[in-house]
Amino acid sequence: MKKFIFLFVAIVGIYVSGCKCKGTDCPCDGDNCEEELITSVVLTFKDSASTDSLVYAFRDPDGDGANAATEHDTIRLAADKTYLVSAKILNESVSPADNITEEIYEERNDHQFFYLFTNVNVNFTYKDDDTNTPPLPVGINTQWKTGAASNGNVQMILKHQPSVKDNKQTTGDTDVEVVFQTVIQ
Amino acid sequence: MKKVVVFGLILALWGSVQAQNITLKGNIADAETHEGVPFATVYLKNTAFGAYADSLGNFELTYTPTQHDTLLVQHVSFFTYQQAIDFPKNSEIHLDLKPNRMVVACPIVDKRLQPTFTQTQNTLSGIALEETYGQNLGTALAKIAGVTTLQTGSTIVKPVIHGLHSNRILILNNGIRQEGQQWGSEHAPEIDAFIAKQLTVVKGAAAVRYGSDAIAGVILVEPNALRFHTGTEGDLHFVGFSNGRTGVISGRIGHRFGGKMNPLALQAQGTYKRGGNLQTPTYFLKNTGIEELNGSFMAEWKKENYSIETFYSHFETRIGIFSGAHVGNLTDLMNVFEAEKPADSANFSYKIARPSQVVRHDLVKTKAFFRTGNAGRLYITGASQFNVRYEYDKHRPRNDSLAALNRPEFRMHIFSHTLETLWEHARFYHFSGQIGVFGMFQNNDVYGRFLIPDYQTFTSGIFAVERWQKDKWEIEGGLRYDVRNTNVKAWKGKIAADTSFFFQNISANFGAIFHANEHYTFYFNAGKAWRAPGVNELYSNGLHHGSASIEVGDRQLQAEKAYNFILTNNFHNDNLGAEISLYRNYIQDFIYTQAGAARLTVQGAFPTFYYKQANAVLSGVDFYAHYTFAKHFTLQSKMAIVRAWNREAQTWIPYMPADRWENGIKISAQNWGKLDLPYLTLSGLKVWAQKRAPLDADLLPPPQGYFLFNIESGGHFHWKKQEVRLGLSVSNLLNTKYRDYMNRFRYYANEMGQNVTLRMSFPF
Repeated sequence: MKKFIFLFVAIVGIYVSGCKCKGTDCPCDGDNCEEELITSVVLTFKDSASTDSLVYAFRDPDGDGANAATEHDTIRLAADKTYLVSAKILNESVSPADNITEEIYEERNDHQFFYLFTNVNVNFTYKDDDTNTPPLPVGINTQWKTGAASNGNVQMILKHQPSVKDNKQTTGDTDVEVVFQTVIQ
Repeated sequence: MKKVVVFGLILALWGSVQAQNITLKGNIADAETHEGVPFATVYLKNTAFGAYADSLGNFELTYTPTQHDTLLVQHVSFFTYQQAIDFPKNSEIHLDLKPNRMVVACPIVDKRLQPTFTQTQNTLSGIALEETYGQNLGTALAKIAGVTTLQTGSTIVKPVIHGLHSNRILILNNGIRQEGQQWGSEHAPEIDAFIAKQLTVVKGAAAVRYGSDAIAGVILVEPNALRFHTGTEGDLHFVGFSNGRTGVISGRIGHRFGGKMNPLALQAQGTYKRGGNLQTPTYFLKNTGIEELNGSFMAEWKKENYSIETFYSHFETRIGIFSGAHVGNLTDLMNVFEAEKPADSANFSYKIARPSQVVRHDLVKTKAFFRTGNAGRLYITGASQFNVRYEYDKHRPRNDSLAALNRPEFRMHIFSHTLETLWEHARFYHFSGQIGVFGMFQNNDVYGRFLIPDYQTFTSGIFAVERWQKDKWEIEGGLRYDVRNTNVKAWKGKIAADTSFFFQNISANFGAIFHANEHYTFYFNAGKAWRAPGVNELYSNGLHHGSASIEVGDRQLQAEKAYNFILTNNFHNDNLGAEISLYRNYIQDFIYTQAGAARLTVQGAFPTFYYKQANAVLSGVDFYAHYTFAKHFTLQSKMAIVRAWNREAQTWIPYMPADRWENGIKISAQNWGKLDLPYLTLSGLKVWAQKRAPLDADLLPPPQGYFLFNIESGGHFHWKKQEVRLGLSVSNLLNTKYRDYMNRFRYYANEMGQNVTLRMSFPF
């Protein structure tokens, strides 16, 4: 009987101790692991002919779910201009805000921004490349040449394409997807 | 101690009806006086073969064996006793029949004594259970008429009873209510199906005895009873599935000591399962492998006036989630809907990558029984459970160093401690009954991306059940009062402060059984039950990657109140066995989800579902029958229909199982050469399209109906002295392409194609 109890307790003990998380199964500590939350997208437009700049943004400071977005701008650009556009991705749920653009730049070989224009006259070119062979665009810096006045939208997509980057917006996982109403006037 | 012991020699349960008869011999005795119990009626429930015990309590029952039968023992002074018939080679079974003055037995306390439920009750045991070996618990239970499944792919399967599931069903694993994250539709029960010697489904509110939230039904998972006699026994099972190239091995060993240590019995059991990518008729499903490792130990010290039992079980699984089902946002989702074949294609592989789930469940239970003089018996049952669930998203962290850690994006830990004290009073005239107190404490911690908050819940209940039994009637009434307090803990950023929810209500039950004659039995049950809203229903606010949708809870939700009526009519004679069960479940403040405006996030738009409540009526019919129309040939039929109507919105309630009807023909014999009890069943399952679903409740309309052919076969033989039980079956014989409404992956991929199963069991 004593032997049995000893054995039983030992077996149960081994099992229970084996149930703790092992190595890579262990999640991050603390209450919140959302280091990677993206809350905001900011597009800065610099007119190449002047020093003027325009800033348009989408902000959802508490992430998906919970409350709706607090800012969702309409992009308003002048006709027949050349803009240098820089994209900034932020996590504004923490203070100070986390600039995720830097992280994306570091991993530019696995990321790409795509801009899809619907009913707006824009001649679009990428202004940056990664270090893949052959180099592929990244899209943090882009150039938009506006044409005649028009009204439509721009869909901005950031794709995470780990080891499969191929300059196609259908590949990989979507990190960001925002549609901005866009007016060229 | 009064105790009736039936020593049975049960020789067979299935085979040809016209085949040679089987004789079952036994003795019914009062253990205290060691006198026989005279003139008890002994009969088989489904086939109506019966016999009377003589004045000494001996009986001899000759019958032709059929499948799925139940032995019933009736005596005016005793409860109807019932026991599913065992395998023919288990030549000795021991039925500890407690005297009626002691008990309305509670089946979870002593599995050997089960009073008939006044709700509809169906049992899976013997060969019907053998046919499900290697499958998960949900799939196994779906063999019972009226039980269907809610699936996330083919590896995550939850049972659905009369259209309801998750929190509305209680699963009792060896008498303990299984407590994990059962609210989630992609959270399958954390139970090794191999642990069960018998699976019983009680359809209808059985809230009084088991807990107020069991508004749809109760599933009893009952392990092999500990060995009765001194000695060692066990069995070893091997199962292989062609689809997923899945292998399962399971073993059990039990021992009862002799001499002074005779009160001590032990049992250990373990299962290992490994499977790879599953295959639809035309492509493999990427990342659908599974790995499972389970074990359990049981020990009992049993004396006349007391016994103590301890049980420990561990369940651990790693399940790959079909990667084509983890989509980014509404745009990606629409792309997937339109694709004929998932873009994420794969070949066969055992590798389990992201997205995946890791689930562990540990249960420790201790049960003690004491005789309280001649007045009755006291049972005290305590249990602790620890459930861990890790969910890995497909989407790895952007940061490479974080990604290298490969941590789950979402983790939940839930501790549950339960304690129940139950006293059964001795029989008084024709009355027997029990009173009990139940308490449960739960602590849930959530880490990672937000879905539900941390919380602590305290539940407590007090109940009493009384049963009156005389001649052809059994009448039972019960009352229960429960309180539930949930304290939701503040969570950074999302929820401002601690909030407390308090719910209380009464459950009640009234039921009757009328044994009209040896062929007909009527069951009637009326029950009231209630269920407090779950924390997910109150607080959910986040993204489900598996369905690319956002669910939003409502903190104003009230408890659901269910008023449940069931009428069951059971008929059996020599050739025909049939049961039809009608039910109506009126649920006040039924909680459901309704699609609302898509929510815009930085990752794009997501379909959004809101928790709502409304008065609803769920009604339906379950039916099964088997008819032996010629020597060796039996027709089988099984049907389930459920209708769920939202009375306030005047619309159907979504996510209800479609009508299904299964028909088959079974060819069986007593023996065929050296093969004993061979059988072959050909069956066809028709599932209609669910036309009663509101279109705005879902992302896509329900899929079309389908028809599947299945084959089951089996038999026993002896290899030297070792008995070998064989089974060979093919599901989806014609490799039909189909999608099922109750599978959440119906948006993304077809169901599994043909699957050949080979089973081998070696009892010793």
